[in-house]
Amino acid sequence: MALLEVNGLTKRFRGVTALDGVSLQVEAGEAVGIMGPNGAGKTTLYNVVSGFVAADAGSVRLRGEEIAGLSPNRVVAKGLARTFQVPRPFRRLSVAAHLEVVRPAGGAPTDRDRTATEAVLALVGLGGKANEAAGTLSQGELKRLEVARALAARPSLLLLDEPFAGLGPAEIPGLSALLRRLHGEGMTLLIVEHKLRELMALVQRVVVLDYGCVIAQGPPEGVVRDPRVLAAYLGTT
Amino acid sequence: MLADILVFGVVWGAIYAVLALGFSIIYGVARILNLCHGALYMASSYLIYIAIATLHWPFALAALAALALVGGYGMAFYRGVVQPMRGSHTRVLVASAATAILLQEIAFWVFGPEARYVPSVLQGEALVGGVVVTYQQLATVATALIAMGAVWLFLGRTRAGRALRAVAQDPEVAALSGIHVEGTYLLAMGLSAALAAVAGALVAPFLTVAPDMGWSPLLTAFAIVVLGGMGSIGGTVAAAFLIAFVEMATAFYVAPQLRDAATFVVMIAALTWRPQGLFGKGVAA
Amino acid sequence: MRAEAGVVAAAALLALAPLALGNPYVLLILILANLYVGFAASWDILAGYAGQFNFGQALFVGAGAYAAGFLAGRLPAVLGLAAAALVAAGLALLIGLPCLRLRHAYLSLVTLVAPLILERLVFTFRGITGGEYGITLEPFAGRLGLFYITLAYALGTVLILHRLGRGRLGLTLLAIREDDVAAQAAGVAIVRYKLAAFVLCAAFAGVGGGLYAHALGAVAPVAFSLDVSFAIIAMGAVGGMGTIIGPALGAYGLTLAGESLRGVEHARGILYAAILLAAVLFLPDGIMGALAARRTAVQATAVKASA
Repeated sequence: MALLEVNGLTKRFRGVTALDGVSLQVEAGEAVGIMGPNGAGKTTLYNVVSGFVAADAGSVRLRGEEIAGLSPNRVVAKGLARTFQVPRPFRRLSVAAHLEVVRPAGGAPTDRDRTATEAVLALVGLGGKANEAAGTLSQGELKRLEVARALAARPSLLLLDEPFAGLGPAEIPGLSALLRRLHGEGMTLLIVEHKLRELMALVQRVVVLDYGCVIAQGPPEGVVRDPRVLAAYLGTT
Repeated sequence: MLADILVFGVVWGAIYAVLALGFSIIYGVARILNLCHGALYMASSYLIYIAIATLHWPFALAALAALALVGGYGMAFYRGVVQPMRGSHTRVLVASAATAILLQEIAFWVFGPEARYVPSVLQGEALVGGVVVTYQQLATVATALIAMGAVWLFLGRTRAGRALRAVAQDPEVAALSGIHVEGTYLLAMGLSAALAAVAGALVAPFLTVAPDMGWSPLLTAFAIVVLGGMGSIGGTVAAAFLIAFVEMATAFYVAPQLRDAATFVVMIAALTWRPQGLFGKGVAA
Repeated sequence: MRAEAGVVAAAALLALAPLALGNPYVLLILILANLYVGFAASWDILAGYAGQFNFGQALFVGAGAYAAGFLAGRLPAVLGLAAAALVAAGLALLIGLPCLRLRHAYLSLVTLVAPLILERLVFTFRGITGGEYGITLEPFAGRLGLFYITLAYALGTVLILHRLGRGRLGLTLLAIREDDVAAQAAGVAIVRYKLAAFVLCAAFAGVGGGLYAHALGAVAPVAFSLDVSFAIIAMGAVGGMGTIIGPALGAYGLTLAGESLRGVEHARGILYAAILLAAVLFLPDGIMGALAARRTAVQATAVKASA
């Protein structure tokens, strides 16, 4: 049984079909990439899977349990956490507070255990910033805070939405190493990303979306050479 | 009794439709829930009162003056108060409420709490389909319909109107197509305030003019917009008449003071069970 | 905790006030100030922490006042006040359950008109409520006694809510206020928390409302008035939302300032509205916020200086 099973997911917004019967599977321990031109439906897919948007049709199963239709916080309780493409920090709260607010999978609140918080912050490289207000962090630091907050939920599956977007060349290696380490330790990753090089270094398999449909799947090297994928990105019909 | 409900329902429906349209425009275009909308309506009624009782102007002139002053005030309010705080919805909300109270308290201070009377413009009545209707009521409904028709034409046929609709859909895309978004917000505010002014002018001869007369209509306007008035003039009009009939039925069959309670219940029910409105284009949650 | 110690000290000082100002009229003003501290502090847990602007705190004040007013003489005052809290909390649930899910601006409008509706109901069922004349009741304590009881209420409300604000509840509410989408993604059941804040706000305000009824010896529909709601908002905004203590200070300050204008009709209303407008335009974090900002700026310059 796959960790995540998405079947026939369909979502329409005011006449635009954002998702058109999307199906995919993620096995436990995998790192899978999701690619596609802008507007292909990647963020909508995440929004539906994480419970922020209700699908018009289709199912989403986590460890065999149907989670489509659950509210976002219940989805987190089931073991699925996500980050946002544009970081959504709690500007006026401290970095440490971001983790203390999280309700991890299983639903019980964390004891406000400083040690655990410090461990996660050290993992993402924000160890020294525990008491800084999130509003003072750089873009790279905010991205890492997003990951830390998602990790604090102790998920089985981590959905990352363009983790490398907006990062400068100095910040990319750090995040890449972090994600590789998480995967190495057994975390299942689903990564939406445009930056091909970083993505290919992290994932074994890539799913390509275009206009809400899965148009290609497979190992990254093969997929990027697939003529349908090239056509989707270059805009030829 | 039924005839009364019918007649009053139509008259009030027309007035509410104009008011709700204004409320819906500023919300639809600029995402501002203008808690001052009722106060603008109240201000217009008072301006009519001053123009007629003190200056002895004809009603049409008074109405135009009220429209211009309230519309202008709305735009000044947007420029001076709302625009600097555009980043924070909360602050705009509070500022609009504070302004509403300020206007009300000023009205209390200047005019006192006693109600003021504005005489009917037209005298006499007619028999329409077996029901007695005053000319004043007919003129009111006609004026309201003309106002709404004008807005419909404006939104559909003029460039400024199209700009309003574009910004309501998506401000970023509108900006990219060369539309001056801030100017459009200003226009929306002016139009919204002008419509509140029209409603205030229409209602003045029917109701007494009092400083706190703006809150119930604000509730009603919001209920109408919830019930399916946003984004479509037709939806607003339909919901306005629906709510007006509910209010009139409550007033006649239950108790006059419970009109607002009825509207409130309808609004809560709509927000709970059908937040997208009756016609699918209403305010979503 | 320094701020809390300050509050207790202030309360201790105030406790001595009757010795210096024996005038019963002044005592009444102080009683009202105490009550407004409770109203503003409880409003803050909802508006400053959860970020849900409640434009109709008077709903809970009035509901509490009428509940306690009815039960005065029939039940011991303590039970009357408990009932006041329960009635107010019940109203919060009734309104909150359908409306807290919605965009927060809609809740604001609902809270704005809800007291209006209750006022209408009071007029409609005048047989029970006494209509515009309201009901009179025998206060359960004399003015001096009420002064100390309301002082205890104010102190208790501020300390309890301040503690909650600094704890997990407050943190979660602040996160919801900053970004409720992100809070949900962090596993927080936002509706449940907003509801909790709403009920807390209502319950504390309801108790204060009950005390208000006893303090005046009467309850009238004016308890639901917009003036009451707006005074509270002005106090919260000026004092500094999200601090509990800020609104408490604002409550004392504005009640006393308002008293000086008692002679001029509606001048008080204009004052509060103007202050609120000014606060929202120029001092959005209130006085506490401005002080905190100055402290941070001072610290920053000190750091730079020593570097």
